[in-house]
Amino acid sequence: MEQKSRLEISLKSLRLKNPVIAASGTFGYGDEVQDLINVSKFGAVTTKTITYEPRLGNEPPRLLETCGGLLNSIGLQNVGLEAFINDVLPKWDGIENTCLIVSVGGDTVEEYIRVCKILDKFKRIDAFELNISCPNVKKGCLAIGSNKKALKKLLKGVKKYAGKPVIVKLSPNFRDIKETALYSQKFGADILSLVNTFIGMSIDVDKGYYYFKNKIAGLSGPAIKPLALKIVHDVCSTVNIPVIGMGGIMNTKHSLEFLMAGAGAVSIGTANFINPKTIDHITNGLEEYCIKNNIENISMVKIIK
Amino acid sequence: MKQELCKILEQRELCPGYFYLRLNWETTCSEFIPGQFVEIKINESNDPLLRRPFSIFDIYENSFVVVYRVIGYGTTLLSKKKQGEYLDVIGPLGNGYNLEEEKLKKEESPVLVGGGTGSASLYYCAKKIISKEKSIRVFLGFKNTDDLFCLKEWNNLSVDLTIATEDGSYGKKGFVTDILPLNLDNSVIYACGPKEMFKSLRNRYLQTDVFASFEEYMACGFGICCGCVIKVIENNQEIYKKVCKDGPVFNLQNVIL
Repeated sequence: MEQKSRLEISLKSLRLKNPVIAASGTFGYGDEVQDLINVSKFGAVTTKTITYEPRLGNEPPRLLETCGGLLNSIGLQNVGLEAFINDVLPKWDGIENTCLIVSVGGDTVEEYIRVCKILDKFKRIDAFELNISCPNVKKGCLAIGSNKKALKKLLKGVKKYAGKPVIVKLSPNFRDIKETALYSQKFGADILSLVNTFIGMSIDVDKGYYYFKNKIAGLSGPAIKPLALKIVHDVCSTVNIPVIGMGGIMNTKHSLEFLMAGAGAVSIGTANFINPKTIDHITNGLEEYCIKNNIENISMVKIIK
Repeated sequence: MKQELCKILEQRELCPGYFYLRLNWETTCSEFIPGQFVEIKINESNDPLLRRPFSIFDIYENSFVVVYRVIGYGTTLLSKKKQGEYLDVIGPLGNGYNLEEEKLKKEESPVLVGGGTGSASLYYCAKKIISKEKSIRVFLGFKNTDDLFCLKEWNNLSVDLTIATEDGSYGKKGFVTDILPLNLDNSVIYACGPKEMFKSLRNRYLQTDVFASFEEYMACGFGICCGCVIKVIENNQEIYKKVCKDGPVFNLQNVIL
C-alpha cells in the first residue's frame, strides 16, 4: 500500500502510517473480514480484549439500537490467550505496515500482568492496550480502573515485565477521568485511549424487566460523540502523553474534531459495523484536508485549547 | 461477501405489510447460497443507525430478491423506497442451508417447514433442491389469509405444498407442526420460523437432521461484534456461536433452545 507520509504519525515510540485505528471489540482479531475491510488500511488495529482463559461472554440479548447509538453487553467473549497465540497471531505475519495493538483484560491485576508478560515476547505485537474500562463484566476492567491502588499495581506490574508500549483505555464512567488519566501517566502509561462506552440501560416494557441480563450496557455510536469529544479535549489539556481519541467518530470531520481537541490519533469502532468503507473515507479525507490546508503532516493540525 | 450500492429494480406490496424487493447486484448472484442473507443500510444518514438483515428469497443473474414484513422503524422506512433509488448492501452473508448430496440423498424426499415470515427464507432453498431434480414436500404455516404473502410464488413451483393457518381461514387449521408427517426418520428437514416451532421439530424428529435458520439481533452482520449469538453444544461444551457468521443455519441437534 502506498505510503501516505502526510498521515504518518508517532505516538511516543509507536509509529503509525496513518492516525486511524480500529477500536477494540469492533474488528474481531483483525483477520476475519478481509473481503469487506482491508485490515492494512488502518494505521493500527486493536484486537478484541484477550483474557488468560477463553470467555463465553454475556447471555443474550447483547445488542440494542438506540437513537444514533448502540447499547452493547457483549461481555468480553474471546478465544483466550492460548488460541490467540496459536490461531490468530500467525495470521498477522502476513500483514505488514499496520500496527497490532493487543487489548488485554482480566478479573485481577495479576491476570493482566500474566497475559502481557507472555505476549511481550511476540515481535509482531506492537503495543498493549489495558482494558480497565469495559462496563460489561463483573470483575476486573472498570473495577480496576476505578481504583487508584489497583491501577498503580497494574501499571507498575505491566511495565516491569513488558517492554512494549502500554496504552491505557479510559472510561467516561470513572468518578474523575482527568484524575485517572494523570495517575495512569504517573504510574507509567505511555499512551491513553479514550473513551470506552458510556453505561446506559433499557427496560423492556412488554416483559416488565431490564432488556439486558446485566441490567446495564455500554453505549457507543454517534450519539456519544459530543460527550466523548469534551472528555478527550479535557484529558488532552491535562496530560503530556499522547492520546488516542474515540467515541462516535463516523467520518473525516469527526476525526478532525478529535485531532483538533488534541488527540494524536483517532479510533473508529461502531462506524466499522455501519459502513466498512469508513476507514477509506477518513484516510482519504484527512489526506485531502492536509493538501487543501497546506499542512505537511496531520500532526500539525491546529489544536483548540 | 461484498459491499455494493444496489439499485432498486422493483418494490411491490405482496399483501398488506409484506414487501417484495428486488435489488441489482453487479457481480453475479450465482455465488449466493440458499439460506444466506444481506445487511441493508436503510438510509444514508445514521438514522436508523444499524443495517437490517434480510434473508434472500430468490436470485436472478444480476439481481436478488428479499421478501420482508414491516415490523418496526427500519422496515417501515424501507417499504417507502422507490424503484430507481439506491441501497447500500453487504452480502451474501452467513452459511446457508446444508444441501450437500449426502444430506439430500435420503430414502424419502426432503421436507421444508416454514412458520410465518420464515417461509421466505425457504423459497430459494426449494428452487435449488428442485434444480437438482429432487422432489420436495413443503409445509408452511401462517396466522390467517392476510399473511399468505408468498402463496402465488410457491404455487408456481411444482412442489407438494401443504398450508396451515391458525384460524383455519385457508388450508388446514392449526400450526405448521400440526400438518407434518408423523415419521421423518428417512428424510431431512429444512426449517425457518419461530423458536417454538424449532423446539417442536427437535422434540418430534429425534432421528432427523433439522437444518434451522435462526435470527438474532445484529449490529454488524458479518462476524466482528459478537452480538448475535446463540448457545450450542460443541465437543461436549456449551459455547456461543454467531448467527451471522457460524449460522444463520444450524443443525438443531446442537442448539440449546
